[in-house]
Amino acid sequence: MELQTKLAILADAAKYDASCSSSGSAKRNAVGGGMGSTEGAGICHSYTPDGRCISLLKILLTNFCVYDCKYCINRVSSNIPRARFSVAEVVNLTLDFYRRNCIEGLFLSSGIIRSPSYTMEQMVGVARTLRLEHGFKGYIHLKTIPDADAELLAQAGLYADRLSINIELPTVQGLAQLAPEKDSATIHRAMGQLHDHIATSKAERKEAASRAIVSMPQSRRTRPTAPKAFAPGGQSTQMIVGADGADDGDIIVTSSRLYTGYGLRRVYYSAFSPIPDATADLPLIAPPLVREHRLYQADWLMRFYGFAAHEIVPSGAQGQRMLSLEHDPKLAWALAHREQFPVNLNTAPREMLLRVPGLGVASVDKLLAVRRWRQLRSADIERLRVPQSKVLPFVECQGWSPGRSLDDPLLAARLVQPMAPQPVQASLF
Amino acid sequence: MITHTFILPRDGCDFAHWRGLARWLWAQQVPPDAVVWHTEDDQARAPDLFAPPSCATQLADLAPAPERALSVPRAWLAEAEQCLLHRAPSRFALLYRLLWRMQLEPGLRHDLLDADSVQMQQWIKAVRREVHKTHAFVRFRPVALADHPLDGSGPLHVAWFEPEHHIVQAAAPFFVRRFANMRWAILTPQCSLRWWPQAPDIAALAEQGVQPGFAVQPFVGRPGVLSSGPGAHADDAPGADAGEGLWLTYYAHIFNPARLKIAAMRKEMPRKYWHNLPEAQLISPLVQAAQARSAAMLANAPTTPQRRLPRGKPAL
Repeated sequence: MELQTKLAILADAAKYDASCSSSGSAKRNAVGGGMGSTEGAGICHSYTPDGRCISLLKILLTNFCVYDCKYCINRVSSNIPRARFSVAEVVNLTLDFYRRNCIEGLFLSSGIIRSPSYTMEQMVGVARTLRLEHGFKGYIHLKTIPDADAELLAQAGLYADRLSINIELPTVQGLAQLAPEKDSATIHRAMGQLHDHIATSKAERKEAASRAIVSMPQSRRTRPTAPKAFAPGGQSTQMIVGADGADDGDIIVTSSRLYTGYGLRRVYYSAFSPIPDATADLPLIAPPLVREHRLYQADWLMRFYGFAAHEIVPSGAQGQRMLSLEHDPKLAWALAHREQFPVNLNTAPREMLLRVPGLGVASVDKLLAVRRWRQLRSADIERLRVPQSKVLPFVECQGWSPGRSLDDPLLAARLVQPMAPQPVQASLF
Repeated sequence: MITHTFILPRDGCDFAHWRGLARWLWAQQVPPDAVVWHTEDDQARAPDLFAPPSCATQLADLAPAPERALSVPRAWLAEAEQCLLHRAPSRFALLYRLLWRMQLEPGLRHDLLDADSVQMQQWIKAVRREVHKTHAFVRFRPVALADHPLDGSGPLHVAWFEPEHHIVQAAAPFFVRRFANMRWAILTPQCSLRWWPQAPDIAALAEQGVQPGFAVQPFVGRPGVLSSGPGAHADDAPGADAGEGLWLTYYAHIFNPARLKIAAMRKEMPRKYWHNLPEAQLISPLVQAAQARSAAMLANAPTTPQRRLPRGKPAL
C-alpha cells in the first residue's frame, strides 16, 4: 500500500481523539545536537475547518483492532479500509513534517493487534527510535494501552512527554455497555501506575536539584545528573460525550475525581460525532458541540477559578443534570446566587472576583494590580475589554452601581448567549 | 506647537537609537506633543513634505543636552522594546508620551488601566501574537544544496513569510534553537535570515558575502551563525515539492466533516496567513464537501460487520 493511502486511512482513524496539546513539558532544544525543541507553551501549527488545531501529527500505528467498542470507527466489526504503518514510516513522517515546521511532534495511538503488550511495544519502539536514533527533541504523546505490561508503561514514560489513557465513557455502566472488552478497573489501575511513576520521578528530580553544590577544580558539573524525567508533560484522558446516557453531572464529577485522584493535566471531552460505517446499535446524532463547549467551560472553572464540582453540577435527578446551553456555567452559577452580588471591584477578594461572569484570570489580576495604587472607576471596566453586558450587572465600583438590575426577573433572559447554530448540525436532521 | 521632527533609521525598530533620542528630548524638556516621529522607510514610501531632514536623525548631530535624571522601571524598557516592533506609526510618540508622563505622575507605572498603558499593552500583545504565529505558520520547503564544511550538510530549508509587524528578528531565536543543526533561511519582504549551522564564527563567512554588522553568533564557543540580508520576493522561495503532498493528505484527513466550526478556525488562523500556508488551498473544498459527507454518514445503512484482523508482518 502506498504511504499516501496509509496516511489517509490512519489519519482518518485518529481524528476522534480530541487531544492535540503540546504544552507543559520540559524545556529542550537542539543546540546540543539532534533536532527539535519544546519550550513550555505549545504551538498550534494549523487549524482545520472543524476548528481544531493541528499541533501534533496525530495518527494511529494501525487501525486494525480486536476490540469492538461501539462508538469507535476502528472497531473490529467496522468495514472501513485498514492499514498499518511500519515503525520507520511513522518516524520518517514525523521528522519530515517537523522539518517543514508543520508540527510540534507526534501523537501516536493504535488499534489493538495481537495483544495489548505487543501493540504497546511497537508504539514505544517509535518513540525510542525518534529519541535515541534521531535525537528528536520535539513533543511525543503516546496513547497508552491500559492492559499492556507495566514494564512497557515504565519505558513509554522515558521517551514520551505525555501519556494518556482514555477513560472513554464517564460511567462504568456506559463502558460495559459500549466497550465490552474494556474494563474500568484496569483503566483506573493503569492511570494510578502512571500517576505513581510521574510523582516518583518528580520527587527524585526535585531531590537531586536541591542537593548541595559540589565544586571541584576543573569540574564542569556542579551537581550530580538528575534522573530522567518520566512523562514531564503529565497524563491526560478523554471522555466521549453523548454516546451513552451519562448526564453532565456524571461527567463533571468523574472529571473532578480524575483531576484530584490521578493528578491529570487535562480531561478532554469529545462530542460523539457521526462516523463512517456506524453500528446499528448506536444511532448517529449531530455532535453535541455546544454541550462539549459548556463542559470545557465547567472544566476550566474547576481548574482555574476555584469552583468545586458540586457547585457547577446542576441540581436534578440523575440523568437530568445538564448544564445550561443558554448560559455559560459561571453565569449560570451567578444567576442562581444573586445574593452574593454585586461584587465590589475595589474590596472583594480574588476568589470572589474570579466568580464574576465575564472576568477572566488575566482581567482579575490586572484589577488587583491596579487597585493597590488607586480606586477602580467605571472607565476601568471599559478599558478591560471584557463583555460589558455580562460583567456590569454583577459588579460595583466608583461611579458604577448595578442598581436593581440583579432583581430584574428578565436578567437571565437578557444574558442568553446566542450560540450560532452550526450549519452542518442543522442539516443533519 | 511642533518644534522637533525626528527620523528614525530604516523601520525605526532600533531600540537603542530611539532611546537615545528620547533621553535627549527629555533632557531638553521637549514635551511629547512638540515632537513628530518618522522612519526612513515611511519617508521613502510617502515623503512628508513638511519634514526638513531627509535622512535619519543621529544623536551625534544634535546639540549636546544637559544631564537630567530620567527613571523608568527596567521591565518597562523591555516592554517598550517589544512595543517598538509594532507597525503603528504612532508607537514612537506613545512611548515618549508614557516616558514623559511617568516622570511627572509617579503612580502611572503601576496603572495597567491608564489609556496610554492599555494601548501599549495592546500593541505588545499584537507583537507577541505575531511572533507566536510566525513560529507556527512559517513553512519550510527543502532545496538541494551541496554540502559545505563552513555551512553544513543536508538540504537548505527555505520559507517565505509576510509578517504584519517588524518581528522577523524577534522570531528568529526560536528557529535557531529548534533547528540548530539544519540549514535554513526565512525570507520576508523586509529582510531575510539565513542560519549557517557549522560556521565556526562570523569572519569565516566573509566569502559567502556575510558582513560582520549583519550577523550574530548566538552560542558562545559553539558553531552556528545567523546572518540577515535585504528583503526578498515570493518568487525567491521554492515552490511546492512532492513531500508537501503528504502534509496536504494529512490535513485533509484529520478534518472531521461532521463538526464544522469555521469561525473557530478563522479566529486562530486568520485569512491574512492563508496565502502562505500550503494547506489553506484545501479549506474551501473541505468546507463545501463537509455537509454532503456527514449527511452520507447518517444516510448509509449499517453494513454487515465482518471481523478483519491483520495477517503477517507489515512490509517495511
